Amino acid sequence: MLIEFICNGQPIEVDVPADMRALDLIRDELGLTGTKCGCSKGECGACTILVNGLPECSCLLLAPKLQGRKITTIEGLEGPGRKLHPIQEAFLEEGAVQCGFCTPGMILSTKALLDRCPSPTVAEIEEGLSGNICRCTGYTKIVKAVQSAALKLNGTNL
Amino acid sequence: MKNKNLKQVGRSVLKVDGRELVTGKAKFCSDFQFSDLLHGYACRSNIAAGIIKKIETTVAENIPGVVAVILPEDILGNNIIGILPPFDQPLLADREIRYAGESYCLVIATSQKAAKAGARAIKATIEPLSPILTIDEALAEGARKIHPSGNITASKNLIKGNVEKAFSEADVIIEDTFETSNQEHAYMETETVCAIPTGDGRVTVHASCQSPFHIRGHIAANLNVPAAQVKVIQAYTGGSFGGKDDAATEIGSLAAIAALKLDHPVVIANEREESITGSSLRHASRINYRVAAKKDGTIIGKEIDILLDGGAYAAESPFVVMKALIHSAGPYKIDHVKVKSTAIYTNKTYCGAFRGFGVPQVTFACESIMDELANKLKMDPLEIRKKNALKPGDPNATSQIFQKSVGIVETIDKVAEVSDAYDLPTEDQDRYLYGTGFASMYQGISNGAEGIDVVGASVQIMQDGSALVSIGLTELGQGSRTVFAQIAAEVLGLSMDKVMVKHVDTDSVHDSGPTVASRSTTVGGMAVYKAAGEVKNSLLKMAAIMFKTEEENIVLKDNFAQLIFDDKAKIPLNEVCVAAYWTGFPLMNLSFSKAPESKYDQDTTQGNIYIAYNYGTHMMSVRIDKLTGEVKVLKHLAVHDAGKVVNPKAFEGQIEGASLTGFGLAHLEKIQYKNGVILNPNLADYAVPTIKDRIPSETISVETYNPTGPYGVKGIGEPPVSGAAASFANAVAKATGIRFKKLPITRQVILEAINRNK
Amino acid sequence: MRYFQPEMLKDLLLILDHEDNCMIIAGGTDLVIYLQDTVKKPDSLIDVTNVKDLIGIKKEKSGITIGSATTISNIAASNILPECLRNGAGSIGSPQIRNLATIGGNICNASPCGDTLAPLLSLKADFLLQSVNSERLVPADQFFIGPKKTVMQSNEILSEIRISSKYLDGISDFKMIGQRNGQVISQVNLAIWLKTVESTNIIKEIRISAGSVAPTPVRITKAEELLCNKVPTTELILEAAKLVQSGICPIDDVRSTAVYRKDVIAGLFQDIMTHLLNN
Repeated sequence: MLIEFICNGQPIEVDVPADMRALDLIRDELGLTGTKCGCSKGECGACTILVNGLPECSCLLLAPKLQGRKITTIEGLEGPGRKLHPIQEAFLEEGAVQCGFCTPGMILSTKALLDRCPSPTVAEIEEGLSGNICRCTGYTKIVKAVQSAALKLNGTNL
Repeated sequence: MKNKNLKQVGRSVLKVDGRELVTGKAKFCSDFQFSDLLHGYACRSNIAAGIIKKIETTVAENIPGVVAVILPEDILGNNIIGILPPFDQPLLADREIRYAGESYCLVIATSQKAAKAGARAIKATIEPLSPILTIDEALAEGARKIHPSGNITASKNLIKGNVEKAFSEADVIIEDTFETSNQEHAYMETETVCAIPTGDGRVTVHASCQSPFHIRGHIAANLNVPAAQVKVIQAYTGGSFGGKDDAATEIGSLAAIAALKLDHPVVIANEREESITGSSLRHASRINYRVAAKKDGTIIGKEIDILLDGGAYAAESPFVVMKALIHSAGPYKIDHVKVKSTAIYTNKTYCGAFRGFGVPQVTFACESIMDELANKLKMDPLEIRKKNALKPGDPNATSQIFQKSVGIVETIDKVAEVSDAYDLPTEDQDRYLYGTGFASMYQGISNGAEGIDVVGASVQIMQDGSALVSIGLTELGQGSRTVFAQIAAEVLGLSMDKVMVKHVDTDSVHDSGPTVASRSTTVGGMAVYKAAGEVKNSLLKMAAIMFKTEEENIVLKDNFAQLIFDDKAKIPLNEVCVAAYWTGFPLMNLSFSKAPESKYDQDTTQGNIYIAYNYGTHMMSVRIDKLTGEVKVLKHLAVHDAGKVVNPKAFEGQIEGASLTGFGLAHLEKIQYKNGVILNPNLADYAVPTIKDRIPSETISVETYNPTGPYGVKGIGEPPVSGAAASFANAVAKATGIRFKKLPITRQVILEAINRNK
Repeated sequence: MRYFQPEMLKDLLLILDHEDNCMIIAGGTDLVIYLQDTVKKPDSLIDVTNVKDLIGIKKEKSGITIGSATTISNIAASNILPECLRNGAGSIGSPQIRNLATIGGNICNASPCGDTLAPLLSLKADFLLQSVNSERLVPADQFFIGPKKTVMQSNEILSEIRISSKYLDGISDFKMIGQRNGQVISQVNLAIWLKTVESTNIIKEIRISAGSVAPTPVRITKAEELLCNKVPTTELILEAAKLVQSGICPIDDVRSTAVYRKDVIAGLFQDIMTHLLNN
């Protein structure tokens, strides 16, 4: 089945089986392996991508549903010249990355949250990232990283 | 090695491998792409015990995409995994199934989907046996033997002093029994390996793992090839926590067998359900604990009987038995201690290493009964702990004496300070119960009684003044790569951007054993320290020639060699490196660090076991909803003596992460079985904490100087698990007035107990 | 496998009627998992989420109409909808799940722990079922006949959820509880809708529905009868809570025990009633 969509700003056209998961399309067809497979049941969030700006578990998303959509994977966050996105910087600076496997999904969920809600409360941060499980950090520094990213993106430095 | 003017050690430098993780560029094992990559998928038993009669592969072999089926007879070597005697665990079960989830063959295909379909099409005739599912069933008279040796995996004793005498002199005796359940590692990346035949007769296996050298040894043994033919590279590893010790060896061997047989790269990536049912869990436990005390609160004797449910195979049970044994009396000075620690076989998923390694289970028991004693004697819980706490010069339960770096009292004092200043809320007492609990604990650093503790490392400095560190210990997210970079940078006077740490590659360094026992910073750090030190000597010798002075007058600092007494006199380090190379000074050193061997009596476990202990005291305050059993953690403080802290942010991160795992063990996580089959092998019904379940952990480091670690370091990876779990249990007991003796203490268990008590 | 993405409802119904061995896919949050494990794969999938007529929430004089392919996150965010339905939807899974899952999927999947189901019962919602040459309106309380079983025929789709305006002038709330705080699967959920007599505290009408406590979501009529036409004092609420407890017959399963479900539903009930009566 021919599917056309935009991935990280680039137009994509692929011919894939209709029951292929977006996760496998992204990883195997497009070679973008930053999106991870953690559980195949939508329970861990490691496979999170943004679809028209909204976070979805790509392990539950069938490829045809990408038709005409704009998707963002973790690879799409870096700026030109390998400049890190402020969220990526914040995660590094705050020590919110340990093994890194949950990190791509966690960062994309953060982006979706901050796009929608530029100065989130702690409760909003927790709700926004509730679909991303981390076993390493205990989440404390992840919350700090989101708050720091919010400040960076709002251009304020309190 | 005293810590003056440290530039890198002690600083929260950024994780050296962080950039590739936040950009998604880091390649984990299942990210490798080859045009001829094959996939392996295991057939696993769905019953807990049985005799394998027949395996029919014809249908499977005809599934489109299926290329081969690997059976036990295809294993040219021993068909064994596991690092310890009795070596009772097969790579592929060939005669008997001993747990639901055990694998008996592997299907190889052109895609994971096809391999899975092939695995589903394997027809296995397994004659069920009546499974043995509990410790009591296993120990019952006439019980079926799960292994020829019976149902006891391993047993060890600790005898210090004369415990009968102590109990006869006691003013107060308390006895109780505590239980804990299995816990699943639930790392975000499941077990994954990729084996690549390299055409020169060798096979390279990339593994998400913790013990690359174990894997190498097992692959070689299972393939019946010399170990020199096998290279293991530790890939980026998405968490391990002890769980990828055995499981990575299992699938690493299988992938290597398939790769060499078919001359193709082969990837095996366990699915989540397989990861939970097929690979190791934390031991469940039942601990009977007796305490003899004087009425002033001095504990004079402890008698402890530990039973660990270790599941179907020994795996690392003998070591867990030992560690539980040694730590069960707690961080206290007690003259008379008698402990028996036994692991039992049952027909359930085998148990192995998991962050804490027996210490969380015994700490829960120890600290629960400590509060019971405090209640009985009407003593403050922190006071009674302080009264009995080990001090420098005191013999601990194994009669090992540390003259330095015994910070347990300092951790108790610090918690007391914070606790005195903290008031529990009092709102809505019709609805809520409030309570604060404490726990003190310790955890031995280094392999200790588990055997030799050695680490190999190399440091080389290039002519441009950049350095590369190679070491045999693995980065699992805990930040060890960064710590090693910091140590090398510190010794060589380099800025962090000049130091790189490469992936663990078993070709490059000495067999360093497993990355366990919180030993990376100490034993691993020492190897890096030594290697960097040798390179530094070369540079100092060269700089001395260039400055025309003695080596003692030169210091390496900020990418320069400079004179101590004239900081304007400096030569860029890269110039020193070029000169050193062309003068013939060695710019690379391969070093070997060995922890002092533990020497102890095998029958009484008395002697010197660890190179140091991490000490900690936790405080947890909770609010319990009387109508729903829900628990909100209002405050959590973890105070640890981990020696010198190399990277404060990473140190906090370890405490926060380990504490949440301890909280999960104590409150949320429960593996549920029916007839030995796990009913909740997923991340929803097995309630791993989400961000909405996090606890507000605060961290305080009480730094002592540990003479057996570079810069005075100890380690921090495991200890907070125990502190958080035990302090949670005590907080709930305080709030409800009910002593819960079995983990997990879920909201369900709490509500049912509150209602029963009404 | 063929994949249809019709944009018109009539095309959808035609394809559904015509195709053998096909399955409807909405968000796919349940179906995609099912497809991975099943050996009996369908020959085709019909995606309902491109049919504009099936998406959206409309408020008219007669009441509210919800397109069945409206995502759960849109349901949770809509301030047109009654609170119990919004909160039920907001309790589902995670943001990622809610962005993909649909209310129609939650209803047709008919899992006993589906979090929109008890609210729909308490709102006396009606479900519009359509096939290529018929349509019928089925009340929510007649729609579910067992765990994952509904009255739908294989050539029917659920196209609309309708809530009559006469049930929109009350207040409502929803609560659930699970093993943890995030990504929770309900051990018990409860939705209450009530209307008071004007300017008084007297309960004129009340509907109490519970999920995860029976093979289907259920109304707890005994508790409703006790509270109807009364001023809900603290004692009365406690008495009603006991009736709620005795009005359900939960089981032990991997997520919870019957004892806990019975215990905790009283707490949820009291919380919802307190919240509703304080407003």
